[in-house]
Amino acid sequence: MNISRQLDTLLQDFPNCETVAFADISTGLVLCSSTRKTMSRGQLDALCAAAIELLNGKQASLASATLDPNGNAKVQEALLMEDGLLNIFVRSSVVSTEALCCICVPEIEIDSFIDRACSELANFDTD
Amino acid sequence: MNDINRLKSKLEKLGAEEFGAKSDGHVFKVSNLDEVMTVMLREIDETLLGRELEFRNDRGDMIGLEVSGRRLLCVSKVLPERLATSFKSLLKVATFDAHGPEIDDMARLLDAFSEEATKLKVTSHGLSRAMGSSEVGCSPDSLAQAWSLDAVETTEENEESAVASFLASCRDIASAWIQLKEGSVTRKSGDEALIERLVSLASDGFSIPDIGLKQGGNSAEAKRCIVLRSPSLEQHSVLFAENENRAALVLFPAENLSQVISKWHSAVA
Repeated sequence: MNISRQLDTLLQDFPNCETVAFADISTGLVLCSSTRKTMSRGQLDALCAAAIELLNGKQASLASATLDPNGNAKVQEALLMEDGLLNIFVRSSVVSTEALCCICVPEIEIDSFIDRACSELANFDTD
Repeated sequence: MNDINRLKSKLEKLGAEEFGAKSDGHVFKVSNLDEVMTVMLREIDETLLGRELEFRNDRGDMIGLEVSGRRLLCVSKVLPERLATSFKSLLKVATFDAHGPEIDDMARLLDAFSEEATKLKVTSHGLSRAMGSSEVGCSPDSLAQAWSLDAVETTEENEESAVASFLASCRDIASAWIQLKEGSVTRKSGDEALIERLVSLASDGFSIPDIGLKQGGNSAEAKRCIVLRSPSLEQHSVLFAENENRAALVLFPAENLSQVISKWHSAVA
């Protein structure tokens, strides 16, 4: 199954997820996306930029440095809740520069959604 | 409480005293023992003349405190009879310092009084007895220290702040949290070592970055939170929530993520 189909299936399996985008967070490029609503290129780029800021930015460094005694932990998952929407960003455990950027409603089953997102990301690199 | 409300409250109290009118009292939203204690200490702190303050919860329980010169003199009455019997040794016993056994007993009384209480009504009456010159009483600061209350929060926080109500609802699912107002820590709770880390994180400038997802930019009124998770962060996730000039930093076990998000969603709804 190609990545585009996998994203469509993820969206189909989680009705409370509105948009999911696969991004390279080292370059800031959205490589593939699936969405229930119209998203402009600019909106997808903003979503990717948010992933970069939250997973690799200053706040992620501060959290890692303060909370990890060894100081080398990478933030794997980040959530932003604002205006009744829950943005979920999940970094690949296989390729740390790849991530899924998702727009959901807060009622989503967060734990199972993140587990599924992690396994999808791992599948992208093994398929 | 802002200055206008504080002045209005004072005028109402003065009016009641001067003209014998009965105050309807003030009602506060409470959700735990700390909040009940905080309301009581603030009321004591605002009482200059000799008064009997009556605190009545929404279950019908009542505690009367004799207060003067911003100091607690004694517990004057307790209702219902069941509570009064259990804490009989406390009634009418003068409080001199914060280390006496009556202060510990009072904390236990308040614990029982706070159970399942969601509202606290406070009324005030003139003292029906003359005060003795040896009645020193106990200050709210000493009581707060004896009861391990980290800070006395304003009633405005209890009534209006989404951040405060979120923190109150996280009591059982967070490992540690700090509340910030204009960058200063106003309240804290939980494991001391974790609190230190949160304070350090706050002083390093941890906040929600301006990531521009919201069209039209981020306003000060926005209610936003971020959660960062890593398997290596000692199994904890860190949350930063903000609304207007108030913010919170929370550390919670990773498995509580969905509950924490749900609590924030409810607090801002």
